[in-house]
Amino acid sequence: MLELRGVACRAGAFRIGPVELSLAAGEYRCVMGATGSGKTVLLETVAGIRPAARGAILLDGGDITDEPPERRGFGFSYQDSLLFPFLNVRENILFGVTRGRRRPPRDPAVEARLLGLARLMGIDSLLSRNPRFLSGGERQRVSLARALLPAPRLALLDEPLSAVDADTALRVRELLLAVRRERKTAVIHVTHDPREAALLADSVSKIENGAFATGAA
Amino acid sequence: MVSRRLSRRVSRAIRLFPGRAHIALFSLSLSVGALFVLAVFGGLVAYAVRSPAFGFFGDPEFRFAVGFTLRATVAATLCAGLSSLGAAYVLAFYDFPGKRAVEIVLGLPMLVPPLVNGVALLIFFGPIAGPTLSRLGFPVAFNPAAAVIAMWFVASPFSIRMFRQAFASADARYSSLAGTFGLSPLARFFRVQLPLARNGLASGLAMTWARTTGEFGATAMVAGVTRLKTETLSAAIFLSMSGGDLDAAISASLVLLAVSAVAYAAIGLAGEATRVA
Repeated sequence: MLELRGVACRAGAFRIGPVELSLAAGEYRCVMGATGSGKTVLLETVAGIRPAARGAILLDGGDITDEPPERRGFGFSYQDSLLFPFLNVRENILFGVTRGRRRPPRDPAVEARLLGLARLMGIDSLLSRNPRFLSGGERQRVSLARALLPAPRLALLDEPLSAVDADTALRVRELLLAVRRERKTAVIHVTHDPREAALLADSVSKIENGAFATGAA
Repeated sequence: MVSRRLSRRVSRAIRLFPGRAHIALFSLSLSVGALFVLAVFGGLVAYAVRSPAFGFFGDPEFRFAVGFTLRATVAATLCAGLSSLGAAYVLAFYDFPGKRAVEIVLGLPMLVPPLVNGVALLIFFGPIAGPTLSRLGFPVAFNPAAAVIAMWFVASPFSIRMFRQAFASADARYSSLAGTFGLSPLARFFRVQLPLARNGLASGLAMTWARTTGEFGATAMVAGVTRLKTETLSAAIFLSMSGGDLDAAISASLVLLAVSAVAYAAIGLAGEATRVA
């Protein structure tokens, strides 16, 4: 489904690549690397937030290297959550469906999906809260729910469980596997936790000193 | 004996703040500064209470000046707000050749003396553009419109600066993230960047309004100071003082003082809200 051919990413002094990556529909890939190794920069390049310095990004064989993020439609969740402070939790989760408009979606199925997702994430009691009153772990779960609600073909998750406590992480991991199984959502999940990668991933890639390498999970 | 007791007290007070004597000194300068400002403005209010200044509030000329100031400053603030929004956005997010020069040009009305602004505006709306504008039925110089234009001209560097800061202080990743949810750059501006900057924009507008309210030099030059035509409150103070009418000047000053205090409180509240968000 997604292919990266010789992609080089650049952010200030950072240089990563060339990255060769091939991801099938519904495949779960973990990308590991030390803090500051440029994992987030790679995710941003795949999402179209940053331009690729070199190489080509292909989606179903079509070149999307120069497409802006709004034409790629990948789900994205930052490690520091980046919840919109002017929207409450419900409006944040619905952002990908409402496109930032305040009126609620007309489709009752969306509401059902929102509630189901919120319950599984353990954030159903927080829906009317303002994000600034949430803990770090709660924010991450809201951010994850926001990325997954529109059912993207590819979800790009930047350390989505780093601030979540162990019990909740277990539940969220099950949810991530279920999403992948049922909706065939492919995932690129950045983490520095080998245990998390072993539990979730079909395959693992590593970034070390700017070099990208893939091995079996 | 007394001085020894005093020096003992001072040294005990200093010992209470080991290594923090400078904080005590700074606190003293803070208190003296605040008390002096309070004494000056409090003195004005106290003096006004005992003088016939409050009697001027019913005077038709005074009421015209209040109304005209309100209309002109609100119009100038709206014009400055609308014209600054796009300029501030481009300056906050884009680099282009000559950006520094554009910044200097846009900031000039804030840096040059108000009277120079006034002379330049008078020349522009007089000999340069005046005849054409008059032919088109829109004479500016010495008309109420000139006051609005002068205030807009002088205050827009403030709104551009404050709006730019409001846009730039928001994390740019919010907008990119909204892109991954399918929002076009225009939709991101209205649904993400404007809401993110709203408190900063509101405090910028309040600051701009305060600036237009206090504007006198440029407005007086290009709009003139004509009673019941182009007389703002600042102009009323000038006219009253020139005519030796201290009480009338005090009443106009009280209104401007109240307006400034309200605007400043609004800026503080907006700033507070920004920090919380």
